[in-house]
Order: sequence, then C-alpha cells, then structure tokens
Amino acid sequence: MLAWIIFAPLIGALINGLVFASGFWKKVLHGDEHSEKRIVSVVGCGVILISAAISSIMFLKLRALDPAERQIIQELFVWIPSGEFQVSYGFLFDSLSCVMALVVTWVSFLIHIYSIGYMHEDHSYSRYFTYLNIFVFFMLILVLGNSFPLMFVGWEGVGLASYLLIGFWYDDPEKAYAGRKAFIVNRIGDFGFILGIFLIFFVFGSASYGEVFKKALDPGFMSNIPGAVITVIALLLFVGAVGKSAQFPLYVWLPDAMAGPTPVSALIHAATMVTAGVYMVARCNIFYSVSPTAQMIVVGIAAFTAFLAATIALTQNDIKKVLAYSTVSQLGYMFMGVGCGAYIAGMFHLVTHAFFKALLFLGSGSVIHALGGEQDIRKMGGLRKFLPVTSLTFLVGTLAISGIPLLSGFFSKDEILGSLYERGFIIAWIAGLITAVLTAFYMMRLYLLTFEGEARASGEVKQLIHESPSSMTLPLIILAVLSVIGGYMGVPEFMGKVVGIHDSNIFEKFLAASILVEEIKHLEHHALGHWTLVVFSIIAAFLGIGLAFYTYIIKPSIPESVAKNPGISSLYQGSYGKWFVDEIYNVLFVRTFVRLANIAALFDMKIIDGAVNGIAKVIGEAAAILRNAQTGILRFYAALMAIGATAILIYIVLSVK
Amino acid sequence: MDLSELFKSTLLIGPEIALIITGIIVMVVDPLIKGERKRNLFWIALVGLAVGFILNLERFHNGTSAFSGALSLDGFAAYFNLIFIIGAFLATILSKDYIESMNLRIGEYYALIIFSTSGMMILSSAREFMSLFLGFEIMSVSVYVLSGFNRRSVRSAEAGIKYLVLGGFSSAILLYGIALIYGASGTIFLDEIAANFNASNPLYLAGTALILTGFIFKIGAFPLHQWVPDIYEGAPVTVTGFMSVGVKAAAFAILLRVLFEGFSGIEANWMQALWIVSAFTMTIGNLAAIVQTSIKRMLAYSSIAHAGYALVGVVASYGGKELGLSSVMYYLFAYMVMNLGAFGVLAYLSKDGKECETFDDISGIWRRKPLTAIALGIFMFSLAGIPPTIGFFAKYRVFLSAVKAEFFWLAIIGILNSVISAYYYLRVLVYAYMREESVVFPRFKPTSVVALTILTIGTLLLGILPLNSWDLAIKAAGSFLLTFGAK
Repeated sequence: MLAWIIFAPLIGALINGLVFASGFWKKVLHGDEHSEKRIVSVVGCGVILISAAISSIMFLKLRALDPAERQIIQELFVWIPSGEFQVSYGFLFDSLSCVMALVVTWVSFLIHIYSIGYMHEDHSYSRYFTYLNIFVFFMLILVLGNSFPLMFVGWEGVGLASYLLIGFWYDDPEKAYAGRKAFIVNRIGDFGFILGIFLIFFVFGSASYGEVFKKALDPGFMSNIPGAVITVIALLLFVGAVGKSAQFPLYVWLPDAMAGPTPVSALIHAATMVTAGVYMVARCNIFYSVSPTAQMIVVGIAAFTAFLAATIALTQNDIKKVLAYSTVSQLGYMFMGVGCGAYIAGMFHLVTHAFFKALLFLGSGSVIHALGGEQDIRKMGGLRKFLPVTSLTFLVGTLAISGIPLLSGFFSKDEILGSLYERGFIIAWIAGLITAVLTAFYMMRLYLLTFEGEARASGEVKQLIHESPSSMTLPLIILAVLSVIGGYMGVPEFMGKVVGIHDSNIFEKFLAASILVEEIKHLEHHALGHWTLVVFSIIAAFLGIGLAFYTYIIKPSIPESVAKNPGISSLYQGSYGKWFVDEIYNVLFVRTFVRLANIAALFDMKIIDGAVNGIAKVIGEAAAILRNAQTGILRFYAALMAIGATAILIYIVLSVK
Repeated sequence: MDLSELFKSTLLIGPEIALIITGIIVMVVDPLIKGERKRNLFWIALVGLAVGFILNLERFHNGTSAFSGALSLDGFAAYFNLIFIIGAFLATILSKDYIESMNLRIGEYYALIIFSTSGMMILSSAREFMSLFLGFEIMSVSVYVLSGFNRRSVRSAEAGIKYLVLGGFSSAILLYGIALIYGASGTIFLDEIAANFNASNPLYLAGTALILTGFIFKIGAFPLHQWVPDIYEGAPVTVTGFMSVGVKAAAFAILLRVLFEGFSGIEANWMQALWIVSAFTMTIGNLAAIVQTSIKRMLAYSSIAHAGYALVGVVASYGGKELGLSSVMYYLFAYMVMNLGAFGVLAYLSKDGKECETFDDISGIWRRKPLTAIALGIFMFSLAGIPPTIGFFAKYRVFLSAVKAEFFWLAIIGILNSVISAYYYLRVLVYAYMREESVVFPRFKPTSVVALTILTIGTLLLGILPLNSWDLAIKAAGSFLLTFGAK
C-alpha cells in the first residue's frame, strides 16, 4: 500500500501527460478544451487526494505500532544489483517520513485545488498539471525512499520539476532564464550531495538508511573511522542542502524562481521542495550529532542566511520577491534548528512554515490574479475592501510568520531560538532574534502596503478587481486555520504544564523515534530561564510589527526620508539591490567561466577536433580496405575461410607445448 | 538403452517435440487450405511456440538429462531455449505483415522458422557429438532455405545458395574435427572426452581447432565472418532478424558447452585464440559498419561486432567463472531483444515488395511516424550501449566480467569499439530525425506493432529495471557449471 502513495501521482502525470498535454485528446480523439480541463483537474487533484488519504491511513497504522518499532518498510525489487553495491527500490515510512509525506500530500492537494482556479485561463493547463503531478511523485520518492540513491533520484527529480515549472511560460526569455539559473545553481549543490553519497558508500559499504545508520550507531565500527570523515560526509551532504534549500551562498536562484506560476512558488519554492535539505539533515541526524564542526558550520551559514535574506526582504517591492526572501530567511531558521541538534524543532518549523508560507504565497497569488498580473506593491494598497477573504487570511499568515503568541509560527520559532540558546549557540540566537524583528517588520510592511491605506491601483484595474473563486479561497481558509492551530501539536512542556495539558508536545514524542541519537544534553546553567526566552521572542515580534505600523500607517513619510537620508541611504540601496550578490557572482564566476569556456573551445577546435578528425580519417581508410575485401565472390570467401581455419588450427596446435 | 528409457526420454523433450509437431501440422495443413485462410497458419505457429515456451519453463526447476546423457536438459539449455523461442515468437509476429507486403508463401515459412528453432533447442542441450550435429544441421538447413525464401529476388536466392555452400563447408570442417576427436578418444560424449583428454596428442588439438572453427563460422566471428554481410543483406529482413539472434545464440550455447565441458584440458590455449578472435571481430565489424550505405548491411556488420562483444564474455568465463558465463548469456538475450527490434522496424517499413534498407528509406520518419522513430531510436541507443537501455546493462556486464577476470586490454578494446559503434548507430537517427522524408511510408500494420511495442518496452524497461532477467542468467550459468562439476 505504501508504494501507492508514490505511484498515484505518477499515474496522474502519465494520464495528464500522455493523453492531454501531448495533444492526443484534442487531435486524435477530437475532444474539446472544456472537458479536457475538467478531466485534467479531476485526475490531477484526485491522484493527490489518493496519496494524501493513503498517507493518512498509514499514519494511523504507524501510530498503532509500538513506539520502538515505528516503521513500515516496503521493498519493491532490487534496483541496481552490481556486485557489492546493491540498491533496492524500497520505501521507508517512519515518523520522520510520515510527517513529510503528510505535509507534502495535503499541502499539495490544497495547492492543486487552488491551481484549478488560478490557471483556468492558461492554454497549457494540462501541461501544468502534468508537471505538478510529476513534482509530487519525485518529492514523495525523496521523502519515502529508504536509501541515499533513492533520495538522490527524488532530489534530482524535484529539481527537474522545479526547472520545468519555473520556466513554465518559456515564451518569455527572462522566465526561461530563471529556470536555467535554478537548474545550474542546484547542480553545484547536487555535486556535493552525490560526493557525500559516494563517501557514505565508501565508508559504510552500503547506501541504505538501515545499514548505514546501524553501523553509524555501532561504537565498535565507528572507532575505526576518523571523526573528520564523518564531518566531511555531513558537510558534503549539507552542500547539497545549501543548493536545494537556498542557503547562502547558493540562495540566488530562489528569488528568480518566482518567475513560475504562483501556486508553484507556494508548493515547490516555499512549502515542500526547498525544505528537502532540512529533511535530509534531520534524516542524517546521526552524522551531524557526532560532529560539532559540522554543526557549527551549519548553524553559522543558516544564521547568516536568515539575517541576510531578511535585510533584503525589507526593501523589495515585488510581492513575491518579499515572500521569496522571507522563505530563504525562514529556511535559515530551520537549518539553525537542525544544525544545533534540535532536529525536532527544525522539523516543527518546517511543518508550520509549510502552512503559513503556502498560505501567504497563495494569498499573493490571489492578489496578483485579482489585479490581472500586477506584482508591484507600490501599485496596490487598500485591497482589503475588494478582497476580504484574501486579506484576512493573509493577515493570519503574516501574524503567524511574525511569531505572534498562540499562532503556529510562535511555537516553532520559539522552540528553535530556545534550543539555540540552551545549546550555547549564543551568537546564532541573537541573530535569530534580530531576524525575528526584521521578519515581523517586513511582513507587516507587506501586508499594510498591499491591503491597507489608499488604493494606488489605476482606475481601469480597480474596476476589474474581484475576489477569487471559491476553488482559490477555500484552500486559503483551510491553510489559515492550519496556520493558527498547527502549533498546538508542539506546545513545549513547560507551557503545557501551566495550562494543565498533560500530553503536550505530541509532535516531539511522535518524531523522537526517528532521531537516532539522544539530543545533546541541555546546558546545566542558563542565565535565562524558559519563560525569559519566550518573552524575548514575543518582544521581537511585537517590536517588528509596531515599527511597521509606525512607519507605514502612523507616519507614512518615514520611508521616503529614510531612503533620502545620506547616512542610511547607502544601506537602503544595498538592501534594495540585494547586496549586489548577483552582480558579484556575475563578475566572479559567470564571466570567468565564460572566459575559460572560450579557451576550452579553442583547445577543443584546434587540438581535440584535429585528433578526432585524424583518427576518423585513419578509421575510414581502414574501413575502405575491409570493404574492398568483401567482393561477394563465393570462391573467394571459401578461400578466406580455409585460410582462417588453417590459422586457428596452427595457432592452437602450436600454442600447446 | 531399452525401450522404456527411450519412452521416458521422449517424454522429457516435450518442448522440442511440441515444436516439431507444430511444424509438421503447419506443413500438412498448408496445402489443404486455400487463399486467405492460409493466414490462420500464423496462429498455429504462435500456439506451438507458446506451448514450447511453457513446457521449457519446467527445466529451470528440474534439470535432468535424456537419452543416456546425450541431451542435458538443464537450466543452461532452458535459458537459451527461452532466447530461441521468444525470438522465434516475435519474429513470427513481425513476419506476418512482412510476408503479406512481400507476397511470400506462407506455410513453409512458419514451418521452417519452427523447425529451425527446434534444431537450436537440441543444439543447446547436446552433450555428445551426434545430437550436436543433428541439431546443428536441423537449424542450419532450415535457415539456408529461409535465406533464399524470396525467390523472386535475385539477392535472396543468391544469399540462400551462398549460405548453403559456405555453411556446408563449415559443417564439413566441424565434422572433420569431430571425427578426429572420436578417432583419438573413441567416444563422442563430452564428459568422456574431457576425461581422456591428452594435450600432447595432436589429434585432440587439431580436432579442437576444427570444431572451434565450425562454431566461429556460425557465430559470424573473425576470421570466418565474410559470409555474414552478403547473406544478412540478401535474406528477407525478418529472416535476417531471426537468424542474427537465434542462430548466433545457439552457436554460442554449443560453443560454451563444448569448450567448457569437453575441452577444458587446453582451456588456456583456446581462450587465447578466442581473445584474438574477439578483439578482431569487434574491430572489423565496427570499422566496416561505418562505411555502409545500407542500414541492413550496416546491421549485418554490427551483428559481427556484437558477436565480438559476446566473445569477450566467453573469454572472461575462463576457468568456469559464473560471472563471465552469465554475462554472455545475458548479452545474447539482450541482443535478441534489441536486434530483433531493429530489424523489426525495417520489416515494418517494407512495403509493396520493396524492403526498407537504405538510409533514404528511413529519412524523415520522425515527421510521419513519430512512434516508429522513437522505437528505432531506442533500439539504436541500446545497440550502441547507451543507458537506460538493456544494451547498456548487457555490455556493462560483459566488460565488468572481463575486468574482474583481469582481461583489461580486451575490455579496453571492447569499450573503444563501443565508442566507434555509436557513430554509425547514431547516423541512423540523424537520417530518421533530421532529414526530410524522401519515400512514402507504409500504413499502420497492427500485428507488427504488437511485436515492436513488446520489444521497445522490453529494451527500455529492462534497461531501467533489470528485474530478475539477470538473476535468471546467473542461475542458468550456475546450473551449467554444476552439470560437469567445474571449479
């Protein structure tokens, strides 16, 4: 049954791809476009619903099992039987992959439904759903595969789907370019990732989770392996995560990836695919737990990314760009969590983030849809009257991501910040707090500029503004509800006690079975207690929101004067220009690379081609000789045969002494 | 041998008997029915082959021997029988449309394919020289006739005659070798020959060399490969497809059995000879294929080259290695799938008495018949050994076994040859996908499409997921090594 979670979307992709996107339906069966869209929607959403339903049933089955043996494994067949290297095509359903599967399938389902409304006018409707189903298929392979090679298949597969969907409107060269950029930047990360897999196989002699982690837990086995090797494995895998999950320095593709349709940004570039790196680190928790160096680097990069992306998000004017940088920043939080050893906290933020970031993206999509494609927040404002559902749900998402108490983002972000502090990553903790202020500020700014104040849209556009159809608003409402209540599965025990809940933090208890190493002991002496930490987080959230209110509602003249202030204006320009990272990369890497490529091309033309043509000439002449020997005359052949037989005879008789 | 054992043995060779009876039925029924109804012979042939296929499966579980050890009905033979029967089955399906478009006689055609298959099956089981020669000739004579089956075509008739004369010549060499061995050892059973083998007696050596020569002719390897292009080009294209996979696999089966069971006494010597044969076969086949202007003739040379690749596996089985043996067996299976597919596409595109054979005949097919073009592309990729196709895995395993057995140079020669071969296989695709069409392609032919679909999916699917096809070859190779207790 497990395998059907994965194969249902594949079947959907095959039907939608082969029958509809290929034109078979229209050209051969002469079906009309209206029924095509209807069938494609039903098939596309239906298969995801099947996946989601099976995942949920499997979740219940898993819960019924004894906590110590909570995993379901299904091996389909041996995929690569090659000497000692055996890879079987099998799936693992334990609490970690269960959480991922539930998030992926249900969020995907909502976004599929949303897409029906959003993409309704598009001519490539069937192609869109085909790609979307392909994406879900690979994403599920990634999270449910029971070996590193299978994870890599999913890893590359989602990369492909992401590329296809970013460049979905490939008529526009800029969008096609964004797709290529995402693909190429990801290659750098994937290169590290596959090297990590090779090293794992080299060290552990296997690539399946079961065997690798069993050996990694065996002190006898590990005593023969230098600690540096495990650090290298952990870091190589993390290079992959840096690419896929858009961390510094490889995050540059994610903002450009917003060229794709907005539901795609919500699904792939916010809720699911980009969190694959976080899942991977959580899955490989054992490697990171034994390597303080790796942890230090992961947390360092994550904290820097979170802060950097948040500073860029402050000044962007494209609604999707703000959300994109916000995603990069939030992914930084998740990596801070899993990097410092608080794997469950990181996963918890992954789940809540999937809810509220999908909500925010879908909300932005609803706005863009209503305004006929407008993405610039300077031309929005005052949309609350026109889009009541969208604005309300967007506000919920904004408050959740800002960490307002009792909403989901509050619990998950607070758990990460608390863990950082308790484990002694004080600098990262401070960076996290500052980022929390920035997050609350730029998200509130985004909400205020979009929905409040004066309507700045032009007259014609205003006439056309309408609330989105129910297929779009319904997912918004569901996600808004999830963003509010999603945090209650992970209420920390010290809070639970106060309210009188006995069984608090069920999320942690459920996931604990998949975290193979006991989490590092908390520091003995804290200067600050639990509640003090919580107060810090709450202050950060309200400070950010308050500042945004003050700046954009109470004194709207501030932004302009800040931008013109000579002291701050350079900072403003830097942030607005995204710290010119793209330009720096362009000079450092792209141009150097092009220059090298030119030299290589010259070498190729002069020397390689020369050699190849030379060899080809020799081969051609040899072939001509052979052809001449083929006269077609029977007696000649018989004679050649006789010579051949004699040669073999002489050779064998003479070779035996 | 008393009567009851004869009776028991006869029951054991059910698959062979099923085919022979089917062949006879087809021959007998053929003159009794007329016109359109003759087409039903096709179904008789298919049913007969299917029965043979099912009966043969039993041998994978219970290997036994029949006729006082003259036939070894083991997993090894069963694996090769699988290749022959599946090959014959698919070739028969492909032939149906082809026979109609070329206007050939129906009845004898199917009967000959089936007789030839039964000969191959006897050959793959033979453990003594009488049965060996019997199977060898049943197979060969049927194929001689099939080669010249299109009597209206001068080239087909010429191919039939040429094959008959040269094949007769090679059979004579083989028979002479058998006589020498019998003269020296006084027996025709392989295990007894192996027990008596005396490397200092020149009769044994000469006999071994001559028998080897006979087999080398049949697999179409250097230095007795000259007949291959002329006959493959002249014969009807479905026959070419059938014999390039069936006859070749049968010759490899008996080559392996005779060499490893009978002549292991001078293993080091024939292994060296085969090393040289293999290197030259690959190189000559590939070089000559480059300059061909006819696809059919190019595929003939490619078939020489593939015999060379399979011989790499034979060399790598040196010392009775399971990996090498199974790699040859798997290679022949893979070659059956992809090569039959390639010839099948040519058969599919033949129409109105004219075969599809030159590059112009397929150019621009992508525009008119994209699915056929995709199938052709997959077969060409597979023949060139490019993943994810069965051809890649098969070649990979042959070369892997060569490297494991420390025949590094042979593996390197093989890989270089693979590189060369990509040139002419991909040239087919250049014509198919990038040129304008210059001929009118035939209409949709449902029967052939079934076979082509099976072959295309097989080539691709087994390339992505080799599943158990590889395990089966390993088990079969193991059962062969068990029958004579090799190291």
